[in-house]
Amino acid sequence: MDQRGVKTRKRNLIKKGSGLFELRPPEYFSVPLLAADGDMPVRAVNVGEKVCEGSLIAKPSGRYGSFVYSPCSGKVVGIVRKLNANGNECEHVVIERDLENEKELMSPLDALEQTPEQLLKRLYMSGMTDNFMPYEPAYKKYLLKCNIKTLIINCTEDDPYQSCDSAMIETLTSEVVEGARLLKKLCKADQIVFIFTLANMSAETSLRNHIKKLGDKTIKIKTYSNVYPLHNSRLIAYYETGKMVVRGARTAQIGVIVESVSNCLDFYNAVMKGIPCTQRAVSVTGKNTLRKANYFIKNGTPISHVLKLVGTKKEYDDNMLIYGGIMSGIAQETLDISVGLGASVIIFTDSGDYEKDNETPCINCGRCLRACPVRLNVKRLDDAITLRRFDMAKKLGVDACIDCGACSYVCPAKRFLAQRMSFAKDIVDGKVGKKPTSSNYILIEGEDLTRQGVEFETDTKKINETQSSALPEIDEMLKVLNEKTKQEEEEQARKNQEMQAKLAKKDAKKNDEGGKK
Amino acid sequence: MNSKLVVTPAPHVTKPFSTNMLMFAVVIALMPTAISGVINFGTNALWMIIISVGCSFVFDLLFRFMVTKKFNIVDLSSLVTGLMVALVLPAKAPLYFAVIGSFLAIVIFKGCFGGLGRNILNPTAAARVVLGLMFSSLTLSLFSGGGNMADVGSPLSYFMLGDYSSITLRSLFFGTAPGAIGTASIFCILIAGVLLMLFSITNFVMPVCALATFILTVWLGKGSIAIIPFLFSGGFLFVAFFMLTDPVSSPLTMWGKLFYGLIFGALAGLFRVYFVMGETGVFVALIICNILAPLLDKIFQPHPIGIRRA
Ligand code: SF4
Ligand code: SF4
Repeated sequence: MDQRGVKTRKRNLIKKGSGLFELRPPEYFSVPLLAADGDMPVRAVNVGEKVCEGSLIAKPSGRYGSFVYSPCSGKVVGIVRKLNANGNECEHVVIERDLENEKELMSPLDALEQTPEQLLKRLYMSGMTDNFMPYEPAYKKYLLKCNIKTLIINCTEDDPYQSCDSAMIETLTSEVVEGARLLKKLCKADQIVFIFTLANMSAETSLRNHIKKLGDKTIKIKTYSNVYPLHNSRLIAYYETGKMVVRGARTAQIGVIVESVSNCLDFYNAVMKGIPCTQRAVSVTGKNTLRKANYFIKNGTPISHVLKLVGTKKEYDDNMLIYGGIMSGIAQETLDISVGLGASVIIFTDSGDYEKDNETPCINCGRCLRACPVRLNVKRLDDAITLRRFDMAKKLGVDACIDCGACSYVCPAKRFLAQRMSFAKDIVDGKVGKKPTSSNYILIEGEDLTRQGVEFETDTKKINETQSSALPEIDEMLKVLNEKTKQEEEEQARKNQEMQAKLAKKDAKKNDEGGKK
Repeated sequence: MNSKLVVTPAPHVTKPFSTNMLMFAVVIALMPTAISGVINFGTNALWMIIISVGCSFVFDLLFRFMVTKKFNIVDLSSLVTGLMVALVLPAKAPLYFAVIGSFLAIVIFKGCFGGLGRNILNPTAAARVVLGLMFSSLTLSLFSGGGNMADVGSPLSYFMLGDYSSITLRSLFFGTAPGAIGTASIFCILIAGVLLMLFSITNFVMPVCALATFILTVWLGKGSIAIIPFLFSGGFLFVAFFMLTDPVSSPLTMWGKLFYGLIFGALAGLFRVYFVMGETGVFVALIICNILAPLLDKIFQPHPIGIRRA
């Protein structure tokens, strides 16, 4: 398969082979109950309750919820409702850590117990979520009863700042491989394929050596060319099989399951040691951080705490906090968020480099078309969306867009292409206006001390400017859409009336004729 | 830590390459051609270039002021257009040619269509064709005998009569034979064109396809002896490398580009071989292809993968 996308310059600010560190846990955790897209879990603890590390604090509700476990031992001191790092509003449980370090573990599964059913149950119980698109609970991929041929472990690290996957593979090679083999057992796949790019060769070599030692013939290694995007499971499945599943469908339908390195490691821990998923390896990097490295960060650690421990430079005025990669991450409005299980990169940088240029007219160069991994006619879509022709956008296939941002990256006219695409997709799906647009903070119960370190303000003026220049006014759009549907309805009604009138005339004529006869 | 957090939509970084850099690269690539033109044809050529570029700049500024009520030059595209207009005019032409040409290109064929990115026709080619129509007898005589070579016809006029010996290939290659200012020196055009392609500033598909069909038509029409003289004269290579690849008026998609190049090469060859159109032929061919470009885009619409079927 020819890979499409853009070549990004790797910005490995983190020294290669510097390993993985544990981040010292904070005094207060603020654990988001919703780590990925899915149904909101139901809280299982109340204020004042004592929790251990690994004890259950939320249970799934609805079809696709997930379990949430406490990252530390301590006491629940508050429950708040605010935005999580992915921009979804959900409840957060505030836990005050104590020094007792009690742990509550599940019982490990031994070799006899490792049947697919048991493993699936353990995966469900472990509370793992994916840290790649689409952000979903990890077990969701395995629910379809399909014939799985290949289990792909995505180690490509397509984001220029990301290096946590390599670090995990280099330091915890056997755990990762064992985890992958357990997952293979779970989905009964024929083979495991680890995919790398040319940019992380050292991790590939250490993995290759390990596999050679194991002598497992079903584990293969593939090297992709180093183009962005590679973080989307549907796209990886397409490169592997030549078939693309539609948005919302699962790659298991075409016999491929894509997993991340973190999931392998967490699954290994959950099965062999009984530890539920409460931490993730995250690259903390960016120009304004001091100790750039890959850290294991516990679920619910406030970002302000991370930045305090990592250290920030103070000489810049305008900072940016990007959660989840420079290419497709979310720039945060406040420091009042906590690291969730979907994290892989946290970038703290100054805005100097990334100040958005003004849009200039499109020069029709076709670079966006060549960059788009799903072969959309991005330029025509851009025209259609600026003219508010969402029907045309739909016809051109806007819902195939995977929100990668390659088109915006490559455009010489600096047009806000990817931003428009995702907006149009929301309009086509009828999702506009449902997501919260600013951070609402509601204290439900108890107190929240994680907000102490938050001294940053948000430059709302700038947000408004960028948003308004990037996208046409939402209200106006909705109005146009409504009008259009209204017009269509009216036209339909008019046509119906005409038809009826005609029919009535015919009937009358017939009756007349009949009467004459 | 009492500073501010900036929020922008993803992606938070863009490729350090902008429209202006693209335009600037084209200007740089045109420089050797322009310099060789000045060396070969003398000061008149230099004045033509200066006046054309200056007028383009001023016209662009004034037109923008007229439309937007603001004095701002946002892009360098007027520079490129101005330079191109000078380079496709005959070296001995009177200086008001440059003024009229840049007015036509900037105001009529670019500004009136809606500015950069909206023009359907390549402004330079359109201006050149209109100029040729306005002063048809004049242009013909001007092309014959440039600079110090009085009473010598333009190379293409000899070739089209079947006389391949009176102009040496060497003089064509280095631009000492009479012709338009920029289109004469094949050497500079080839070097700059290939460099532009190597840095992927222009697309290589279109010129390659154009060359292929052009050579084929000339070969079929006039035999193999005519290929090199026809290729090296009359500005075909200049148009193929610098004007055909103009992103604004060429198709978007790869297949569209391919067919665009093929059609252009065939038309240019036909106009030379069968319709004896002289220097203007390639520009007319280019304009016809410009008009075809949106159609080609429509035909070769890319098929998105993973699209939801309703
Ligand atoms: S249109 Fe969508 S899928 Fe295509 S490059 Fe842009 S963001 Fe990526
Ligand atoms: S990359 Fe930008 S300038 Fe080029 S065609 Fe696409 S939108 Fe237009």
